[in-house]
Amino acid sequence: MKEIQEDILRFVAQNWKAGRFGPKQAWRRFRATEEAAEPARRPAFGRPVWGYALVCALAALVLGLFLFRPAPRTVIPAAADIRTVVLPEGTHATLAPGATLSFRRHGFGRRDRDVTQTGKVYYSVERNESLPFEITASEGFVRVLGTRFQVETDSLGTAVDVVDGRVLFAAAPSGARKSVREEDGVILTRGMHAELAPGVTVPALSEAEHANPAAWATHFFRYENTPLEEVLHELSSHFGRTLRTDAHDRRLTGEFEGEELDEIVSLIESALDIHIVID
Amino acid sequence: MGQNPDIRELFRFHYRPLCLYALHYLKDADAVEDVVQEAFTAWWQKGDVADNARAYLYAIVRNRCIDILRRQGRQAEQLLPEDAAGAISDEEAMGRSALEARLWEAVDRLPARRRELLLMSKRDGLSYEQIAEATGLSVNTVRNQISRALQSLRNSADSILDFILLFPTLPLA
Repeated sequence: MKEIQEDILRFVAQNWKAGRFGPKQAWRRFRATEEAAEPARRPAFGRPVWGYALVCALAALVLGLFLFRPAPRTVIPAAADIRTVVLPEGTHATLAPGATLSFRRHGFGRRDRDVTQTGKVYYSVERNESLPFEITASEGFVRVLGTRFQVETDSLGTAVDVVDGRVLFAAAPSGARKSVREEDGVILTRGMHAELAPGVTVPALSEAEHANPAAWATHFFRYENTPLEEVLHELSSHFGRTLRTDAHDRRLTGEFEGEELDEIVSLIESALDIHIVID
Repeated sequence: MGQNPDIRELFRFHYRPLCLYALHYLKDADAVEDVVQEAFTAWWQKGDVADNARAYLYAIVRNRCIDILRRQGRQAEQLLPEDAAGAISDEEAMGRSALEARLWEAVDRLPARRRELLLMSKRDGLSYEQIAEATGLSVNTVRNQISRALQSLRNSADSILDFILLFPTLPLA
């Protein structure tokens, strides 16, 4: 048994008083003080039933607002320049000046791969057999599993150009039609172009204005026995220059990748043994 | 809020030690109880249930005691806690507080007559003879009664003394 230090014992003895420093009384005083000071905290010491009811009502309200609120979306706003963004599941989207893109912030790439666009966007879609990539563009609807293509909307409707792969192009679901089946639209493959005019239910296949409508994004030109005049017309339009030649009857087959007009022209001149003037 | 039982347990274990710790600073029992109540309120409003509550409470009590002493015009060198013999360190006051609380409870439990004799000895500093004379008891009776009272206090303090001796630098958490 240890001896108690005399000064400790004396300190206690000098201050001891019956009932002083009692935890039970202090606890009761603490409760009373807290309840009086802040009614909002009263539930911690014995919540009245109406308090529970109020909390439940507020919880139901918050839950309702949560369930029925518009799903938060990530929006890629319009810009003056061409820019490429990588979506959360790996798809690359190149937006032309003025184009916009949006998708649900939560669950994109897990629950769905649905995007909405305006303007002109080129997609290089990451392949996912179990989760199609779906685009709503004005009245148009596009579904792919993984491919490269371009979707453009304007006042004349929606147009789709496929660079590679297989694309379902249809009118967007509306009214009683909640989903899109393959028979509702057209299947587009490499090099194909289709347009959906406003108010029309099925897109129409047509010729694109140029052989490489997505070259603005890909900087890639592919020609298959294409009349040279069409080639020069596309390159002139793309680079904002005027290309002329006397060899009007020639046709071109070949692929060019790059951003330099001089380089592409030089390759064409060598391949066809002709002279092209750049104005 | 799930901390209601926690704070009640904290009151049970720490209220009296905190009061005795604060008493080394303030020497005013009413002010001490106010300070400790405020510390518990601050802890409760802070909302941390398990995060080092004891250390937090002691820190709040110390700071509030020092604030009060400063408002009373004490100089920096007069802000140390004190016991019956004079100034002690803050660490000592903190370390003693649990033992002092245990002794306080043991004094509480003593039979009233025996407790009064003990207090006359330890509080008032009277000798056995002076107590015998004041109470009309024999010196032997006074000695026996005080001896039994001290025995009770030692028994109560034994476990916590062992604890303190084994872990003299036990952290607060």
